[in-house]
Amino acid sequence: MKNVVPAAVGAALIVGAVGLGFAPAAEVPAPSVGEHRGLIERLCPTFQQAQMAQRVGAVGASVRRAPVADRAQGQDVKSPTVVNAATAFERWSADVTSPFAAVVGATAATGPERGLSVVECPVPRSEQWFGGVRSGANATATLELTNLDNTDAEVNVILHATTGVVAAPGARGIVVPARGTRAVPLSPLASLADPLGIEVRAVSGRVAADLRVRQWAQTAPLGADWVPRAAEAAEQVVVPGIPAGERLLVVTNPSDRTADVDIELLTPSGPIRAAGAESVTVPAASTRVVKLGAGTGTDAVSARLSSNVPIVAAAEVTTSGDANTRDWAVVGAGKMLGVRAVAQLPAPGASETRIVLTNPGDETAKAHVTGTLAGAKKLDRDVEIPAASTVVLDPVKGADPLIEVTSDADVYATAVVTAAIGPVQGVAVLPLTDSTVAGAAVPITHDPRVGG
Amino acid sequence: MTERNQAIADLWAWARESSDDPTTLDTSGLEVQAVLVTKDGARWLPRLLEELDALAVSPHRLVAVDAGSIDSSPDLLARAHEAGTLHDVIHVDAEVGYADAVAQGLTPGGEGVRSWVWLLHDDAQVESGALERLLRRALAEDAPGVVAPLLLHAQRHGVGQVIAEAGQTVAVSGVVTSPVSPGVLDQGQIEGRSVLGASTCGLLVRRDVWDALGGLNPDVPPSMAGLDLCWRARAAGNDVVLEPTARLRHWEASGRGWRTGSADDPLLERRRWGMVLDEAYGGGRFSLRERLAVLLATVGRMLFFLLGKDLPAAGAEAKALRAWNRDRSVVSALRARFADAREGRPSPEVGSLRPSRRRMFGRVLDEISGRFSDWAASFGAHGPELGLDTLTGDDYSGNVLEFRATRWAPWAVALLALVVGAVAAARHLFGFAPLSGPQLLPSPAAFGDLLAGYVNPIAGAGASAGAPWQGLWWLASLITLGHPDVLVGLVVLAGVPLGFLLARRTLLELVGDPSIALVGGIVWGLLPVVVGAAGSGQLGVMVFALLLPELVHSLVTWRRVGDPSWQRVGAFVLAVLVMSAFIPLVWPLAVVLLIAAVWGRATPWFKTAFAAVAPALLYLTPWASEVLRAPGRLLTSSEPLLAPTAAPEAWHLLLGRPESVALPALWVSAVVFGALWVAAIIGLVRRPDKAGWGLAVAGLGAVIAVGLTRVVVPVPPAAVVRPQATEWVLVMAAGLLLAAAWGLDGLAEEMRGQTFGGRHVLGFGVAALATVGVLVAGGAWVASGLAPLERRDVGSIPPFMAKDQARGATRTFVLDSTGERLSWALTEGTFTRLGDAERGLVYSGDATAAGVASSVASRLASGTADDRIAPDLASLGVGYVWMAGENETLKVSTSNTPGLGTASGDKHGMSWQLPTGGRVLVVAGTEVTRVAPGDDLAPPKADSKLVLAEPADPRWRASVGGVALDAVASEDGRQTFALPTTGGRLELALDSGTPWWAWAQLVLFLGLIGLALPSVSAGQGSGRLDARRRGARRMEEKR
Repeated sequence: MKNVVPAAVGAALIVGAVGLGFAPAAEVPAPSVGEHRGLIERLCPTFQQAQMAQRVGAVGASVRRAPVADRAQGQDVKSPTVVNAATAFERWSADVTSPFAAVVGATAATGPERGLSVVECPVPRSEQWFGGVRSGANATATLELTNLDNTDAEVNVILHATTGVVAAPGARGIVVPARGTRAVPLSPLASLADPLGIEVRAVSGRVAADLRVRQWAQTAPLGADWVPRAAEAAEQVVVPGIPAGERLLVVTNPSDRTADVDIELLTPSGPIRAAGAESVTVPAASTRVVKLGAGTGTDAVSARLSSNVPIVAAAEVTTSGDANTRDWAVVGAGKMLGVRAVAQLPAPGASETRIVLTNPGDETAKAHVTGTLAGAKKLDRDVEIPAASTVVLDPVKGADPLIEVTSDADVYATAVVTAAIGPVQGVAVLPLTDSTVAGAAVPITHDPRVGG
Repeated sequence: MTERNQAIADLWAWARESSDDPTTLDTSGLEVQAVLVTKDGARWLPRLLEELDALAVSPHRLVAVDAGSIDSSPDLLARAHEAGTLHDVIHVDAEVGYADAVAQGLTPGGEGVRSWVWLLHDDAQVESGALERLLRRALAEDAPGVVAPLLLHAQRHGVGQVIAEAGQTVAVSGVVTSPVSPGVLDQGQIEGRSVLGASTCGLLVRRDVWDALGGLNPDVPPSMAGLDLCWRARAAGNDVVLEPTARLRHWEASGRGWRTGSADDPLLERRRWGMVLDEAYGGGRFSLRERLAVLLATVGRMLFFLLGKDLPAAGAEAKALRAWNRDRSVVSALRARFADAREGRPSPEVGSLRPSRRRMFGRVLDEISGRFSDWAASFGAHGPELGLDTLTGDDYSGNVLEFRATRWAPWAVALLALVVGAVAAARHLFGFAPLSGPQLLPSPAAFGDLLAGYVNPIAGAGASAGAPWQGLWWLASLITLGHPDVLVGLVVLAGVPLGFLLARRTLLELVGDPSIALVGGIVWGLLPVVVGAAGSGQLGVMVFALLLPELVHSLVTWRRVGDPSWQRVGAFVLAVLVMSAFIPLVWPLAVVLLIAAVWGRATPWFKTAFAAVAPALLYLTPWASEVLRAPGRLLTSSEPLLAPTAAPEAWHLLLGRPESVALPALWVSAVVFGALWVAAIIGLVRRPDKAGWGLAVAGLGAVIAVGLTRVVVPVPPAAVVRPQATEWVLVMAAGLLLAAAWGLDGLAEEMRGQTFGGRHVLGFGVAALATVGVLVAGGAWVASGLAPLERRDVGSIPPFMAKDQARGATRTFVLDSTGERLSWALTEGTFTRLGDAERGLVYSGDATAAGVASSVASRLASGTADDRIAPDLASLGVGYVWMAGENETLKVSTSNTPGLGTASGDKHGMSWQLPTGGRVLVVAGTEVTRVAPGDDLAPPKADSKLVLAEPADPRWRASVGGVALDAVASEDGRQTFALPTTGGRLELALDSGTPWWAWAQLVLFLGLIGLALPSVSAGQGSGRLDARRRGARRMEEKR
């Protein structure tokens, strides 16, 4: 009789090893960062105006709001939340690793702030672009530069008009004090009929820039809105989610070569070329305006611009109606969605929020969209976006929707909010991008051999 | 014995067949009196008497003087006398010494060159022509006074004749030796020459010289009497020559203590009288310098014998030294006798007849290398094959037919192929820059840095030090002349052929079929590559893979012999100790295996206990207390902080794929480990009883590998890691290999002579499986080029940063966006080096600092550019930020980080200075000044503080201008001192006292090495067999 005990023990051990493999493996804990965890800070450009209601919607981990001047004076805020805005600019912060979005919403039925405005609270950066900025006889624009850091920042503002770079004394070397704001009215710098493209470049430090434009018909206010930041100059640019209305495309060429720009509109039925707006030539350092006329439909569309040199683009849309009812908004060239975008919109009660998804690629893309009102999911859809098309989803109706869009494809997402604000048919557009603000948390590994 | 075997038994017999002078020796007028002194020599006498009877030229008078023998010697002598062999037999008392006995045997003799005295021992054997050849030399024109024969070892038979003594001489240290190294085969190569002296055995002395000198000195012991006589003969103006064609075999009965009444300690006697004669005859009284030289030489020999575990010899050295020191009167008496012999002549010039110190040292080296080559030979051929030993020796140079029938050994071919493969696999890894990989940090630039990393404490970590393997690696680097990187390269790059040699040697102990041992050895050699250990640079696993076969070999031998030698015990302990230094879990498992090995065997308990407990030597270090605090290190391999954090799937582990960045393609692992599993299962089916043990080992390895990778464990100084378990995957593979080897052993033999059938199908199937497995593994090994292992220069940051960092002023925060990955490091000193991962890598392993550094890296990478990055960097002692790579976005966002200075850079990268950052800062209010240890500080302002960006530790010592600074409390946990208002040189140290434990470890470890080393012996005639003799012996064994 052969001794098979060792073999049996061996077999049992191997079976045991396989079984042990089903046990969940403990995770190696990440290094504890304590108080040194990274914070993302956003500037929410709230201000006091008697006729206007302002609220801030925020979502993130360990959200906190504080005055610009003193981070220590802040208070914790639950997430997600929509709260009344402060009467002055505030810094909002959350953990760097969490998806963090803060959005300011403003409504005013009358007065110079009339209309519906929604803007993402900006993150301080060293370089920022604004497209479709009006500053002239019927428009006043104020660029506000806020420095959330503890050291002064120095900023240059460069204005690209249809005639080229505007020689604007005082636009360079603007010192923004630490933990302070510097307002830069654009009227003294440039008073033009056509929209501008503006570059804000920090020479040292960084600033969060916001730009609010108020339009007038002589003395009658036509409404006000924030101009959202546009994506940095690139040869391929998408201006996503331009609502229906009178649409103007504003293209700025910051380079020193003439830009030949090819324009396509990505609509729900596919790519089209608007008659008379198939292309535009933009001289060096200049801005051109292209009217996207008839044939662009009543649905939101996106513009895909291809250029031989990097360009910056934005679209201005004015809703239909008479002077008392119409509203206007600016849509900046967007950034791709990334992986996951979350936004708590401070939208008024009677608002409708439509998610517009644009796929500029050559293959069908997928995305998942949820819209939640007061904890109840009103929208929960997997969406297929055909190539070179835009999909406009059914609206989420109600106040303060929490929107979340996820996709692993290269798509653009915007939230188009419409609401009746008194007589005004308000419209506002919010780009939805990765909510980690500074981009997706960049995977970085510790390699002790680096540098050695 | 067959004719062929006889021919092999003494291959050099032809050489000794001296071409005798055809002319007949003229014996006219020749008078030779031979005196044979006997004392209890009945064991050897009959043969000697026969030989004396058969001498070609016989002495004219052969007298035996029996010194009170109590055995049958008197009877034997009487019979020989009756038979006419002896002319006379004289009986003297047992107390009569050799010199007096000889004197009594002699009758008054003639004068001149034709009258001689021939001295014989009863334990000698005489060739028939010995006396004739001695006389021919004696009667030569140069007329020597003394002629000595060549003495051969009598106890060695069959494999050539080994020279015992070709004359005697005395080294300058007083060591009596032979001009020819001991152990040399007599191939007829020894030429006749002048010698200083010779043994009295077979010594032929001219009668007039003998009479003039008064014969042998009765005060000198018999073993040294010949040397004494010869030296005095020289003093009297006579030459002493060796006649190597005259051969006697000598049993050296007195020297070996075989004779009743022989000296208590022949070794002591020989050593003592060597010193005495040297001093008495060497030319004048010893100066202090000469006495000191003798003392040092004796101490050196004592140490040598201690290391060689020959304690009696070491003791004899000490006693001889003491005795020589006391022998003043003896020395004086000898000196007077020597003066008498000189008769006013100057002292004879004997310098050329005495070995120099260099020659004696060469002999020691020869002894050591002989032992080493004996050990190395155990890796060689075990069959009728052509191996390295036979290729490099010339034993069979005359046996061409033997060579022609021999084929190249498969193991030698395999070794050659693996060496070529290793060179090809390392094709990108030749160079002078240090070797590094994902789990291999570059070796320190300076040899001492590795030791410093071992003994120096870790700030903030209590009683602490580096891991034991660091100390061992430092010590082992002595082999590579103080270049640890060469040793790393040897282990990692040459691991496959080395592993093959070691594993094959062990498998040859375990299986009978050398083919299985060969294939198994190749597979084992390749396994560290297949499991990703080599490519990722898992040094501990590579060492484990090399030593595991040695450990098994020791255990197998232990089990076989039952009571192993201390050398074997030492070798076992050494293997366990080195493996445990890297992988602590080896120790308890080795103890379990040891207990299993000695079970049922008559092993002395103290040897087992010693072997089980001795590895505790590793824990004689402050590191042990660290391990008690974070015992997870007992479950990991070396440098666990470099191990991947992900948990591998269980089936990945069963396929030999632990988490590693250097794994081959999945199909490669599947083929190699699939073949192993299949071969093991076939073996199990064939011989379940034996192969089952292999499966049990495999199962144990698998359970440990899977189990360990499910958990995370705390390791020193303050980190949590996941054990990688690569070594346990290797244990699993070793078990499978054993199951296959045991199970398939004998299959080839069974197939032989049988018609084609199922066995053949099985055999060929297994062979095909093994071939595919080996080819795939080998191909993957060579094709991989051991990627991502690389050689690269250390220190890619700009020189000004490196300089500040090296002098301890700053740390550098490095971001690298080269390629697709984004990496970071916090560098300091001479950058992160081998062993630093055991010391915490970042900021001495401080958990908070590691978190801050990680957070900063993440924030910089994400481009948050927040204004707390700079203070966080400053808290880490960072003076510079360096970013390599092309990531422009990252550069822009980092440039905008508040608190960082203006960026500057070139094509290699960009740097930022942190004005307020530094490892050592002088803080006066808001004013911060960066300084460095060794700087001359200007008188600081009042209430200034010295702040170290180091974990607070009460062992920090700081002084300025020699004034010790007082530590003060710090809010942020950094070590802080109050500064005086006087300036001066800043000194900074982490004081943990003298590392006595390291010295103790070193001494004990050296003792262990000494135990494991082959023994040496100072015994007479016990020198090593040289390579030629070994080869002949092996050939004889094969027959």
